[in-house]
Amino acid sequence: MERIPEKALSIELLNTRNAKYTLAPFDSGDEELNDFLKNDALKEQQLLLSKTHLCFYKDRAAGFITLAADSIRIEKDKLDVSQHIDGCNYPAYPCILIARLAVDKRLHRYGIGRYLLSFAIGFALGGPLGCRYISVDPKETALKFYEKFGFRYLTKSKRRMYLNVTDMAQQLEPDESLDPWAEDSKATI
Amino acid sequence: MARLVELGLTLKGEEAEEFLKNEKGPAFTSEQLAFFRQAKKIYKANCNKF
Repeated sequence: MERIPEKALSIELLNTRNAKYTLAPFDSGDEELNDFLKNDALKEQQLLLSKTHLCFYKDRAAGFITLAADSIRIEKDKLDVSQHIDGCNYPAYPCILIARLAVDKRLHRYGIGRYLLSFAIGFALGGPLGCRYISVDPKETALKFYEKFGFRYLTKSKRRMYLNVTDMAQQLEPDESLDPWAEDSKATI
Repeated sequence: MARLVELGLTLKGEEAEEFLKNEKGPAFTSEQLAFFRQAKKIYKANCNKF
């Protein structure tokens, strides 16, 4: 199947208007995810527990991603200094949690999930927050999807997966990673 | 009410050691790096909406 071109997709924060007019036909094929989007997402957002972003295709909700600020806490009682992360002895590291991600079942395998994930990754790389990881508790059926984009398991015994944003930034060219002036300086040379 | 999301994950003892040992992952593939570049562009194109 061919991916839907990105220019045909748009993304919008869930709000009372689009929740009222666009969510009813949405069906991811997963009752729990449908129920979250239609009944809980806006409530959670109003409580500032998470924010849900809708992806639109041809004026219809094609998918959504719910993000929350999170952290990974490491209790290191028995660990020595050599195991500090990049020389930092923080007890917890900031992270963006992908709390939910789902695509309408009629649009599975058309690149909507990839588009939504890219929004979260772009936010982590280029957004206004410091965040070292993106993490997710994927459903069994989505494990391969996240692996494909570089997510790895936190530990062998946990299903939670993470993407190391620092690794990403370092492996991108320096002028495309975290330097906000890079594009300006290129333009003036 | 849908399943609650687990916030504030804590890794202890052996799990913490395992995570720290593997925290830096292997190099990303060229396809993954291309995807990350595209992700930045998509975010930049949409960030004024939030």
